[in-house]
Amino acid sequence: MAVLRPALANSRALSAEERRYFLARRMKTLLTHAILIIFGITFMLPFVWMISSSLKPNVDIFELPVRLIPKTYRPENYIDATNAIPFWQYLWNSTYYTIFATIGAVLSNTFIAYGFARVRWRGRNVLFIIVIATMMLPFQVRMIPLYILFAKIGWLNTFLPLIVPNFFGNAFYIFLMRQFMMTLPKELDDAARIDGASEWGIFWRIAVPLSKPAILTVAIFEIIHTWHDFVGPLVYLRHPTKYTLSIGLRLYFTQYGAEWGLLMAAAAMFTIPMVIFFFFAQRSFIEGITLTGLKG
Amino acid sequence: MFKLKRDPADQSNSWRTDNLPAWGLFFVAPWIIGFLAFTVYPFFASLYFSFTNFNIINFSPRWVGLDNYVELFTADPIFWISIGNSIRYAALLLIFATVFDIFIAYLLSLNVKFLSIYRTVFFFPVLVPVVAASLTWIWILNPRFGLINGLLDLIGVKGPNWLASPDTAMLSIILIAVWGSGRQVIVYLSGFNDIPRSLYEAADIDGASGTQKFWRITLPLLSPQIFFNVVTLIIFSLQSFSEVYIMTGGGPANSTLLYAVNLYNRAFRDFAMGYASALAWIMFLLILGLTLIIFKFLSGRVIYER
Amino acid sequence: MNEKERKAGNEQQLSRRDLLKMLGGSAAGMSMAKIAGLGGSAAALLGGMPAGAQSKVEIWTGFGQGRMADAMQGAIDNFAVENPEFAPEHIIVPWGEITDRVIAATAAGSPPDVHRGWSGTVGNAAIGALTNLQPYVDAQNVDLSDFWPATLDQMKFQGDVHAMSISTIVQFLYYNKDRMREAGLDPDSPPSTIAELDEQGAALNDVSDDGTINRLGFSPTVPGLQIWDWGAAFGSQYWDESEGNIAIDEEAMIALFEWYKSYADQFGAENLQAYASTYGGNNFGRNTPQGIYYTGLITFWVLGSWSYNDMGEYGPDVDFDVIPIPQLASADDSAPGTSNGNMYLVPANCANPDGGFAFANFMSSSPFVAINKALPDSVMPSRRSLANLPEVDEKEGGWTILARDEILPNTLQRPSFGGNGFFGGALNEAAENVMFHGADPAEVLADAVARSRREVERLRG
Repeated sequence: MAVLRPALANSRALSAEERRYFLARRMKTLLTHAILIIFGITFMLPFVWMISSSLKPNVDIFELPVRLIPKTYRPENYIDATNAIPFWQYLWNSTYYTIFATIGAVLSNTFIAYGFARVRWRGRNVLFIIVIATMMLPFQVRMIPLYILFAKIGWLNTFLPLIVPNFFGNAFYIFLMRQFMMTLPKELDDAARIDGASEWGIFWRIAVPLSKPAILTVAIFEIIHTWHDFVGPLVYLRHPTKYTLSIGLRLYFTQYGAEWGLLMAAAAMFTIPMVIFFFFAQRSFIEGITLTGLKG
Repeated sequence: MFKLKRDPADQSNSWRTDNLPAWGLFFVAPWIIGFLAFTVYPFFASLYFSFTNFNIINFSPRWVGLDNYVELFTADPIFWISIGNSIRYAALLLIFATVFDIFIAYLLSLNVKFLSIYRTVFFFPVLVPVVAASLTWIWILNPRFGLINGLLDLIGVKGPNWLASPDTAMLSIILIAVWGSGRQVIVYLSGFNDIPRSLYEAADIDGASGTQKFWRITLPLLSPQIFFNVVTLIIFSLQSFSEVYIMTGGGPANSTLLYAVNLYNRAFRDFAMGYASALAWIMFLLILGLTLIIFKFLSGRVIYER
Repeated sequence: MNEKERKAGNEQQLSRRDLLKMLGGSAAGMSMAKIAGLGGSAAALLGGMPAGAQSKVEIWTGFGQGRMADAMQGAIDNFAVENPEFAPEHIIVPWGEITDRVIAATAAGSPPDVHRGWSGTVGNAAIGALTNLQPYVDAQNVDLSDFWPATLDQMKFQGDVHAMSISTIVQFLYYNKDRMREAGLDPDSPPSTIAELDEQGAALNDVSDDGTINRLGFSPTVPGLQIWDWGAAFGSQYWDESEGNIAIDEEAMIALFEWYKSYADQFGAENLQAYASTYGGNNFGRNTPQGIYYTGLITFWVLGSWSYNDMGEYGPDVDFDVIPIPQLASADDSAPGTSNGNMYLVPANCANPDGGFAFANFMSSSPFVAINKALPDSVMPSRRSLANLPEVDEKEGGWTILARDEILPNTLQRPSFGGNGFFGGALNEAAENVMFHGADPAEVLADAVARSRREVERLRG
């Protein structure tokens, strides 16, 4: 469209054929938007329904015809939801887990990826293929022995089994950061070496500052991942005071059943931090996914 | 799985003395330690446990040889049901998600206005925590007062019973997974954007139709993204657990009992850790086998050079 | 009961009254001490113990809300007063997860010292997850003969006591009198046989042409299959103690499955399922006023006695009553459902098993708990001496005497062997297969029994 516009403006008279062509193009654009809007609305409806239900009093929940706009508003649902479960405790647990898991992921993967991307050494590629291969090992295979291991060393019901492994790298993030670091110009390293910088100095003073976009991407991915994580807390956090929101919310559901207004309010409060976060980090986020969508 | 970037220096013999493995190993050491502790150990431990009857309370494995595996294959109908369900889930999700996501990414690649808004919308479900999303979907799919059947009711149509019926429960969870596949849209979109316009212009000059352009240019040049998404989607969907565990628990009548849900139940509901380890190993072999098949079948067709 | 026993009973009751008075006194003393700023050490002072000698007792229950949470807190406060050497700490775990989480915590080496469970939880002893309480029972001369025989059986694993039962649940058929009146049925003659139940229920259904169930008279699949109870009503057993293995009455269970199927065929299994999931989550809105029992959306249903006082709380306007579960007239050994002991259990390797047992024993023997906790929870105290307190007879509502005198002595005890949970799950799966897919009842039952027996074997180690 952007390219065509000037052409349109410059032509004083359009032939019938040209007019048909532009009409067809316009129809196509309209159709494209129509499809995107229909699907787009469909995609957003669950969220709208969540917010809408979260504002309804319980008597209006089981009501036909359905209303997207509540008949009466009951914002107290949000307050009641935080009282029905130890919401703030769970929110803090989720936050705590997210902060430390992200620190671990950022530190370890930057460090490890540098070893795979910028230092040349024998065995590097063999090892890297093993890194990639571990992505194929299902979590379920490791779940039981790790559970037993962590039980033996007394780590269950603590956040350690969820956080500590993050300090030892993750295949997906290593891959992502390595891809990024390999695009940094080699000459910088060489120049620094001539100036007598050590490998550590190059890592710390050159690779890390230049890799900021990739580091940010890893941080964003990890924040979302830990905030969402359900299986990890389900397996390792068995003590009610240790639940994250993922666990607390579901248990609230099984215990209280039909209090949809409160439940949707709690779900909304669990979701909204991610939405705000995405709003600020959107660009790095999309770039990150594109980066993993990997080209050669 | 991926086409790796190659460092040209690797091919040369000019290893510098200060680049002996020492520094490389220094940087990679955390991964090696983590690999040994959190991957190698559990990998072999779980193999060992799978040949035992493992008591979780006193950590005493009792060797039972192949008993667990024999029981799995010969006397456990739930095992077969869950394998069937998981394969059906993975296959249908693969088809639906791939077709839908490519379609949306294609529309987004047409230089539409408000691209970033649309992109955010289709990506949005990824942001909703899986527990919040699952609980919301239970409510949306409520057979009577949920959003979907409520809207259908407005036009006088009785909607399906969704999660309450074995006929539609599986379809429901697949559609929910498609709803949450926004990551793939972004990957495909980047693929579309990387296809040089000049190729289409050349094809236009040759008088190629839209369909021809799609099959001859778009699809081949999108193949790296398709390959990546297909492989990750298969691995992901065969391990899929949380959504189903929360929404249906495997019911009704085991119609959504995915392999990973059954595995979790056997391990942490029945505390049959040895048996569950055997289940985990079968799962590993299944995923490995499928991935290798896909590699053999697809990777030869993937076009990386532009 | 002869004259002498009655007298003895009266004396016992008198002494209990005295005890209650003392309890009230000490509770008052404690609250005064609290006001005076003495706080937590008040209990220790009253008991003449230095505060430092208190040991913590961690208690897990699911009583996190409303009436029952208050009753539980009252019981814990009284325990603290009576047992100044222990400092109870109450932690709330959702009911559905309590057993799994306790086992997982036990494996992790950080179990609670005592937790609430049911008769089925005793089966966890099979994997060594529980502390054997027999030595405590012997050392403290606990009078086991005071327990209902069926409940005592459930407290034992391989002959040794592994749980202390506070109360015993029996099953009722609840019926909504308003709805019966609406349909022209006599609310004073509720169905007493399976055939009458089918017949009266059918008169009260309201189903749209498209199969949507608007209101339900009765279906044995709603609120749940209640397989243990209906199986008992149809004349099946579940466990053969002499063989030490699972044993069902095949004929009875097949008849039950056919009965379920007749309802699935009539309404459509998925319509029944949809009806069940419409008004709440897994719990059917039991704890909200929108649940189907409180809004007249079902006329006849089977639930534990524990639901009786819930009705008053969430559906105060519903005119309802209860009777024993109807039994299949033609079945020989049929029973009015099962009894299910509410237990307090002490996990293996917990930090304070003495404190754990002290609490479990307190919960099972305290008259205060029987009257102020068990009865408001509408469950019958498991000790006969407590179930015969005059306060039980005085309890309004009329469920207490029915439960104690007519139902409890005749019920089948719910199985408590290791693997009973798996067995229950397998039976449910089998029934669903019959209802949804028309599977052959005999075949799926045989399969469920075979798999469950293997599970029992596996748990034996």
